[in-house]
Amino acid sequence: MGEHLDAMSTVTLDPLVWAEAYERVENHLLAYRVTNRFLLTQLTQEILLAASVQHVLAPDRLPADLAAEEVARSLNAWIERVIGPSDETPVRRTARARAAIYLADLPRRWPASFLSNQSPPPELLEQLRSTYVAAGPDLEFSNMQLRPIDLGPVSGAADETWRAFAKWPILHSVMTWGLFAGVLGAAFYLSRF
Amino acid sequence: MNEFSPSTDAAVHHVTRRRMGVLTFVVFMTGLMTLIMADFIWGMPMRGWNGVQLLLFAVLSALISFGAGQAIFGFIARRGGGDLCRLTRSLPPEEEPDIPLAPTAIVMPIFNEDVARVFAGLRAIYRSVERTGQIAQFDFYVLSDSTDPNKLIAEEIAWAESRRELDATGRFFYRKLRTGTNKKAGNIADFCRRWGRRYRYMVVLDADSFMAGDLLVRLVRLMESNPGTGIIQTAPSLVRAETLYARVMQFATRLYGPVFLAGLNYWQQGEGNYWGHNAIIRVAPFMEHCALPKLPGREPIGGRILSHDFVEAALLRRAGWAVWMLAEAEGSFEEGPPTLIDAAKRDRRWCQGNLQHGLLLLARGLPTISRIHFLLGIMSYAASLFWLTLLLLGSLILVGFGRTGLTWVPKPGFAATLGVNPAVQSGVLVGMTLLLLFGPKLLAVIDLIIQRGGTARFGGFGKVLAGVFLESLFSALQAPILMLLHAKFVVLTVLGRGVGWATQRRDGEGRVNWSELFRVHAGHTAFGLGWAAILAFGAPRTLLWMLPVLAGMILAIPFSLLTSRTELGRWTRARGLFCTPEELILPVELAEVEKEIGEKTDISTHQNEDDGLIRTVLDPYTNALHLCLLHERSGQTDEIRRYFEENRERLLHSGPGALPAREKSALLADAESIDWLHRELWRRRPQNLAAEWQAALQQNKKRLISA
Repeated sequence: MGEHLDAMSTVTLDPLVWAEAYERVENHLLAYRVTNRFLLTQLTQEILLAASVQHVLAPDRLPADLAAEEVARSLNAWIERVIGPSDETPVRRTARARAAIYLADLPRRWPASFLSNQSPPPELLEQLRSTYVAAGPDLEFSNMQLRPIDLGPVSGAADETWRAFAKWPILHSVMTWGLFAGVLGAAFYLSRF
Repeated sequence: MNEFSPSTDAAVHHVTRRRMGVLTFVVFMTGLMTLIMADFIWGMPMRGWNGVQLLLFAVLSALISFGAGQAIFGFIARRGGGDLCRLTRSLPPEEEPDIPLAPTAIVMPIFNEDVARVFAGLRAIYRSVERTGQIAQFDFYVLSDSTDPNKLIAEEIAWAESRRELDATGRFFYRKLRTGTNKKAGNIADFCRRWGRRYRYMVVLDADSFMAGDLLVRLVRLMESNPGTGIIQTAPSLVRAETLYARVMQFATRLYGPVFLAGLNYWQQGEGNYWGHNAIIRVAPFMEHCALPKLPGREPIGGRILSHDFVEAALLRRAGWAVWMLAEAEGSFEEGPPTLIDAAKRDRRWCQGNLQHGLLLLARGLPTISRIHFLLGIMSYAASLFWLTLLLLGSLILVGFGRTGLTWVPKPGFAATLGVNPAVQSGVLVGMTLLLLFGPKLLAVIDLIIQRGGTARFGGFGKVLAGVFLESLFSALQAPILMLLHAKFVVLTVLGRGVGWATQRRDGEGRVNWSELFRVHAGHTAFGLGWAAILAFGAPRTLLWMLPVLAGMILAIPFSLLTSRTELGRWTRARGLFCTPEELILPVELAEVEKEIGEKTDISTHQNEDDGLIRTVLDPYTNALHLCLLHERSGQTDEIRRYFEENRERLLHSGPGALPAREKSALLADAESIDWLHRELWRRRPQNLAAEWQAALQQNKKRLISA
């Protein structure tokens, strides 16, 4: 730790800038549900120390930006170490690992293991490796072919009528008006005697 | 094929005898009533109109006779240990535990539903199956074709949490259909194409339905014992009613349902119907025979088949598979619409779906009973138009007589020669109609009284009688409103006005507002008042006869408003009115659902439009879950890539409010964008983000610290 503090002391920048970096790292870790104050502070400091080393190498870059990148780098390194290599794309692999962390309930059950350099407990390892997020089991595609239904002559005639209505909307409207007029006529006729 | 197959000669002979029995009752009652009616109106002038009146009367008499006949035969079938031909007899209790189960998928298609309710139900079902010790044979699938981004994200989170909570890795899946096709039927078909081959059976659930583990296990065993059966449909009980409307409907279906269902089972046997959910389906024949084609023509009559369930049952029957109903099974539940307006919205969809079946009535190769199911479905809505026409026709004819002062029966009918005057004759007709309508309710009450502890399950004899009396009043007021609504739906559908696919409100809370009330019911009130005014002017004596019908119309607004009230529902509950056995002794699964719903809230409700998107971009776990469930797209053109690059930059820089909904949905469906947005949000200085993102970051921090 003392060695790291020495490294930090070589960085000669405004403490407010480092405070911003601190806050951003802390927020990001909080988003990963690292809510234990001690662990949160410890991880934040470790990431800031790593960022400070990067800052020495690239002094023109903002510590806050370097710290943000360091969070991602730490996470990827931890995933690589704990879950192991995979054939998937980096995006997919990281996403699956993050989902596995969530599904294994790591932040609550093994808070000290998150981003830790120490070997994770076997139970956690098993949980992480078995928690594979997918929409379903392995696909077994089958064909479900449409079965035509012979609707018979009446439905065919009805279909033709609908098509005619769809083609000539005026005819449709005239028929509707005719129907309405018929109802009125019937009412008139019925009340005439 | 075993003895419960509808194809064996003995079964065909047996079921034909039963059907002839029911039909004989229908013919007898319809014939008698039509004869009395014919004799009554034959002496009037205007034979043509009388003919129309008589025809409508005959059709409607046949329908209500059929309903009553079903209840009578159901009542008889339930006596002496129940129907000898019920499906459960194929599973002797001593053999049941020895029947091994087969792989079964529990599938729940959802579309913009109440997420908390959906997953609470699924968790309860999962635990219930676990308690049977047979969980290894069951997989659970949530099949979403939701379009609301907030709902989608809430579903993903709820699924992940449920999976974690149940420790159901590899057994509890969530699949989002990227492009929804053909609604629920398409959703199920997609499941079958992807995973159907893995399972011998699937149990289809609705978003508001659930089933007990014991029943699920039993259904699988029944399917295994009846290899010729394609579908077993259970009869779900309505539960979780809160409003007065829902509680009355829940009480009525629970009390009268068993007798009607036994009657339905009595004549349909292995040629039953499928109601779309709470049923077990044999997957292989379903996949082979039930991929639904589009109907010719355009919607609403043509196009996609909306009420796919009836058609799927018919197609399975066409292929020789039996479709049974398990009328007496307990442990199958669903929720009903909380208000009359919600029921009407659902009926509008069902009406359109059933009228579509008109095109299938004469389809070649379908079994006759399937055609009868289609016809009964159509008539359940068309009958309202027939009743309305009959009543209007009668009123107009009487107004005509009233206006001219002519005698309305100048030539006496046969009854008059027997000394029966027209008033008595019409009274007999009304009496017979009322007997056919209310007789089945009486039979259901007798059936309950005969059962040991039957009325106690509903809160006691007094409560049952009070409930039946009040429910009958409720039905009398509701019937004319439903008649107008259904008649309107039929006319609109026939005229080519289809319906959208609105999500049914399933929260049990009545939240009908005044504008909706007026929009839906003002026409009914005006129609009722106009009708009453015409009768008061033209045929005052008829007004009295018509008052029960007109009162329902005139009082439509207060009726709909009052019955939608949750407070009134609770008030009746506190007084032991309209109680059902499931309310008085809560089944374990229901108790679990209630508990879980109380503990968990749907994060998609009371949200802003963009909260789902914001959470997906901001929260590492939500982002990861969403990404895992998205397909990575390859081979994007430069133009598409630029489209996504521009929009995601705009999203971070100007905020979600600056982007149209279509663009936001597109980003949400693009894995590369979702990954980029998450990384970039945490990489950028907050000052370089839109104010909405800055606020979201702050809120997220506060929420996590306080949690």
